Amino acid sequence: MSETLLEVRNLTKYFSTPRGLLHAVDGVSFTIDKGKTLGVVGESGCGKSTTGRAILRLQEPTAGEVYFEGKDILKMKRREMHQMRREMQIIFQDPYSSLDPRKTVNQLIREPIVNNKLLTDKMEIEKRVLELMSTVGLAERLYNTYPHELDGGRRQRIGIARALAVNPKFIVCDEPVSALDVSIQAQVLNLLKELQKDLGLTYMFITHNLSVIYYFADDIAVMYLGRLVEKAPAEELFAHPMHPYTQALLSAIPNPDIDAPRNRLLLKGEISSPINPPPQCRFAKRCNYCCEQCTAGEPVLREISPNHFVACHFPLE
Amino acid sequence: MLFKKSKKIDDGRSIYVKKSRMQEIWHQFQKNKGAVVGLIMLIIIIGIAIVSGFVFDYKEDICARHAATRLIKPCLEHPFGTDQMGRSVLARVLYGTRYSLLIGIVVVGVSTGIGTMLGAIAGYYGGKIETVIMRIVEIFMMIPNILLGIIFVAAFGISLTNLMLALGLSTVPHFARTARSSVMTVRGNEYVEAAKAMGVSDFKIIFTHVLPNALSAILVQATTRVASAIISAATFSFIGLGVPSPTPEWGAMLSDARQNMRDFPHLVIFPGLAIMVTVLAINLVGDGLRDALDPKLKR
Repeated sequence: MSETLLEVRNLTKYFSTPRGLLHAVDGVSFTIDKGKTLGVVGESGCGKSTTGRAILRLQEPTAGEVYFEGKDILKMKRREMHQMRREMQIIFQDPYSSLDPRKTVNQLIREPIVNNKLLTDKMEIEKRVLELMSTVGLAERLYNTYPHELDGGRRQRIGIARALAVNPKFIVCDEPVSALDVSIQAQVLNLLKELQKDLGLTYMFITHNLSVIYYFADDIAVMYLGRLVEKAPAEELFAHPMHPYTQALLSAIPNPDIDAPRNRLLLKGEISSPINPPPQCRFAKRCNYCCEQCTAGEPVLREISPNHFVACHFPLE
Repeated sequence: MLFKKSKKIDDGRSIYVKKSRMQEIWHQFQKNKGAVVGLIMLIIIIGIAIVSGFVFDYKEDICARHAATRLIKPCLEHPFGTDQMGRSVLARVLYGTRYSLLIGIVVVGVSTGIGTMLGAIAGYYGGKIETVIMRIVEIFMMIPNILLGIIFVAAFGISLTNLMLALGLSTVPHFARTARSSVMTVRGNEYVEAAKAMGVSDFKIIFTHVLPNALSAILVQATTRVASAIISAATFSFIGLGVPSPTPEWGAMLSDARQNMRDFPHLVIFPGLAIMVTVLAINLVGDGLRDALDPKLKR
């Protein structure tokens, strides 16, 4: 067994809205082992990004515990948290809005180093910036360019370099490639993968792209309306999806073979409102296998087979 | 070229050294012809303000009354004519630059400084802090400028300093509102959150990320307010709460001339022109500066 780096217990984030409490993330628990990647998938608005941000306390969670190397970071004071931010970083979805348009590449990458006082000597900082630039594959001549002069892939590389600048152990990748062209997506994914290998990073990889997650993640967690509905190793999940939602999700992956039989499981209805949800299975309204028990009580996440967790009263075989 | 290749790092690689920030802003600024004209005008105006202090004797040239030379129209001996006290309008207009420029700069400095800070804090933090700050600001906004000025001057006495403070404080609400709204749009950007994730303090985020990106609206507001500050100062002088009479402040000159305005238009034309030219120069420079500070507008 490898070492657990991050453990999340009952992470909950509610937003208060005029119509009631919006359950963005509701009692999510999982662990990530050192050097591994946890992929988090789900449709828009299911709370994937909020989970990532709540773990980093960019949005304060309503309840729950997050243990990073055994320490509960949600209980940390400001100063301790400041130290902690060196260990945990985030790569943002949109490289167009996550970089300050008034700063040059050099200034952007320098900021985390200077701010955390990792290096103080001017020459050394400069060297480190150049080193980071070459690590993520940015040419030296871009040292003084502004982000708006660069394409999406290069901008995202700046974002990655910034995240790496503080030598973190854990990085939340919040849909790092979904804003990029397909050709550039592959480059950035390969870069992330190489960095993981070289630097021993641990990722939480948030995406809605199932092909990407299969390629990228060791474990996959599927989220639906703020709940974790299924979690299993990638191979296992793709081979034996047990939750009806996961099955429908997987059947939606386009297959390049046009002769292959297509049996798409189409979901009916709309995603139900996350505001004050009733105490029943969140997926019940759209589930083809829904029965009385599903509307009577909410299923809890349980281990069906080793390392395969499902939150469903009637997991499919 | 944005950068030149020069400095060597110890391992022999040459790296691209950026022009300093000031050089870069100047590089952009001087591309804008209007702004350069404005800057030249402004330099001349500031030059006049400084030099006039040495050239003219305040008591003799500016304030002393000469019954013999009352109300002469512009001629060779008196290029701008003379006023009802027989004083040279040219000398007074030139000397008045000192007062008007000082008023414009101090008033806008006070209101931009206080207003931007209040607005930035309100816009950045939101919630209760915002409600408290903005309600207070709105209360001040409800009081007419003149009334606020009268209250202030009545409480603290008539003087140039009090006038400038009164005018500055009465324009704080405008700056607070402008700053708040532009800070709110900037705050929503992911790079603010990115800075938080890197552990940058709120204070630093406001100064290094939020304000520079919210600057253009504030800068435009500031340059137009210089003009209105000079004019407001004139208003206050007119009702006797501003600069006391012999002082050659442009607004005060205008109000002094009101009785003879029909027959001797030169008494208002020249101070008026002086206000106009100054305001124009400041606006041109302000526009140029706004564009030069925005890297996205580079051609």
